[in-house]
Amino acid sequence: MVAYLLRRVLLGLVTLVVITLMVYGLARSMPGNPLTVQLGESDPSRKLNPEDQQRMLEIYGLDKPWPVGYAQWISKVIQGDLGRSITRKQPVTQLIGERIGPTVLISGTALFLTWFLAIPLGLYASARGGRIDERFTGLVLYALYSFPTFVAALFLQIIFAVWLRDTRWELPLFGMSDLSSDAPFFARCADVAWHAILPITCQTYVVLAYNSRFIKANLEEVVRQDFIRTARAKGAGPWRVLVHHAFRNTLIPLVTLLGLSLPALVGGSVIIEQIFTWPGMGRLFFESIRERDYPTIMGLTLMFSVLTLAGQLLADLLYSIVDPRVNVE
Amino acid sequence: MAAPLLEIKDLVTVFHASEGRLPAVDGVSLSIERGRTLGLVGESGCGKSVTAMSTLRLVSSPGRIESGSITFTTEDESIDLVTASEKQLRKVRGGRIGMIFQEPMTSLNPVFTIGNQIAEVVQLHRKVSRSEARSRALEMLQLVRVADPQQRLDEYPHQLSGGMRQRVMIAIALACEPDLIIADEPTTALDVTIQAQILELLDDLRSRLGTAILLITHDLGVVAETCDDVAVMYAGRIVEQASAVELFSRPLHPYTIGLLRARPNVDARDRSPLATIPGMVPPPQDFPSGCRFHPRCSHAREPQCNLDPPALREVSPGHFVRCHFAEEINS
Repeated sequence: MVAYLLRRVLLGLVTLVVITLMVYGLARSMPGNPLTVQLGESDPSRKLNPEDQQRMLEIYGLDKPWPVGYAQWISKVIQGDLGRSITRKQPVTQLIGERIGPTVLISGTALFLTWFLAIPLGLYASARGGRIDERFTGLVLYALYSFPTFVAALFLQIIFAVWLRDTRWELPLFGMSDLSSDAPFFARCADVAWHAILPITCQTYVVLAYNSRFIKANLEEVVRQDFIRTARAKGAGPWRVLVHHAFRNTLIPLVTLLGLSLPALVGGSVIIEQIFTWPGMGRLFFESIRERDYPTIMGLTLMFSVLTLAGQLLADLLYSIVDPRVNVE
Repeated sequence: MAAPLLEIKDLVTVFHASEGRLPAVDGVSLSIERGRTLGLVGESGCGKSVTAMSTLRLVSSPGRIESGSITFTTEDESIDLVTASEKQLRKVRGGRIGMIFQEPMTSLNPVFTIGNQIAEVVQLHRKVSRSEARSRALEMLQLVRVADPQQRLDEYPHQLSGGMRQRVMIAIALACEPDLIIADEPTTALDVTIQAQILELLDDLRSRLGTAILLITHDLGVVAETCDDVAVMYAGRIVEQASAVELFSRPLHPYTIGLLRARPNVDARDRSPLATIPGMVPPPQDFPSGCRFHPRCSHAREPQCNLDPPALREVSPGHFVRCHFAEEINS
């Protein structure tokens, strides 16, 4: 077990180096740099003169070729320093710390809702397979699955923020809070929750539709197996056969899906956060790329990569728990 | 005479497929007496397994029992399994009738321990605690002669060999001391040496526990060794039924005669090639008119055999045959 973990961690470190190297190379190869993009776009008169620009590039260490820059970045990372954002003049860790909360609020709730609803929906769909009511829910779920989030988000905004304006069903158009920071704590919590309803809905429905269909498809595969017939021949009722015997076997593919959703938990959704101007990680990532803010891009890349690899390792470890035939040794 | 333990009457099980209505079992009648072993014999595809599945109503869609009755009589009651409620049926399944399947490799749930799977059937049918169920599971493993039963309790199916898994299946089937065991080709998937062990075990358990057995097989050797009575099935129907002794010494139906001739004989002096029955069992959509065996029968005569379906008739006490010319052929 220890040997296995050690091997996986070492392999993960190599993967991390390859990922960050590629992303750093790509980011630095994009046209422009933090200085030209930021200032030049907004006001041409504020464009730096070439001497100042050169001096600042030297300060940020951007005058050297990118492999050298990468070497400097990674040697600092090893010491636990993710560097400072060039455009925001803040340590990257502090930036991430500010943005991670709002994202986890949305994606954590969405992830919980997804699984909390997908499992009963999948069981229901499989128990009622082929009947009229199941076909109808199946159709609705497929429709939801194929409906793009950004369109749904706009529709939801029109319905709840425009049409239902000044009714008790009104929901905020965007943002995370309308109250100032000196408002009472619970009032602020309620306000944030109120603002989070639409983004959470958007982030939940697609995955919910996908997962419940995934569970149903897997259950249908399992109920055809011989051991299900054995369970029925033992006198187990339909509910017990479905939940105890069949569902337990579908946990194996579900664990993979769960492991893969770990990075999305903190990664957030660029589209949803952008539409609802939600101050989360997805938007931070998007903005940092637009601003060519290399330290932030790299900090976020590193974090997502670590989480992706950790999610896969977690899934593999969970495998050995849910499937006795799998042995991590 | 008391009612037989299980009496199947005119059972018709059909499958509705794109080809239309396919009667895999077409009017089968069988009865099993308490404590006896009935062998149900036939080639692949003749409807043996569907008959077995129908008995516990385990035929899955698109299969359906269309008509007939399956009367199961225990000390206190007699129920028709075809019309019984799902709840009544669940009490019978695993409780009064145990079932053993052909594929021991896939018939056990891979994610639960052996002990767990035996204990489950006990807990489903008896009001016992978890630990009582577990000790019953241990007892059953000892009964079916699994080595290291204590250790096996906590092992998973993939850690056991095919023969061991079939012993576990037998343990599950017997755990609630049922009146009847339906064994659907229990040894087909096993090595020859293991086959003999499993059959011996079944026979031994029957004589000790008094459980009746419906043994479904295509192997006449197995029948000769273990069965009291034999029913031969062809194309969804019973064509001959008699005691094992009678059937082996005086087979009447041309199909039975053909099956018996098709067995290798160790004692035979002659080196003539093994006799075969030409052709194969027709699928339900191609059942011929008249006697369903007539296209393969060397004694078939027109117009009786191809037009007039023969009835199952008793030619001597306890010996039933479905052939127009049974006496003539055998005289």
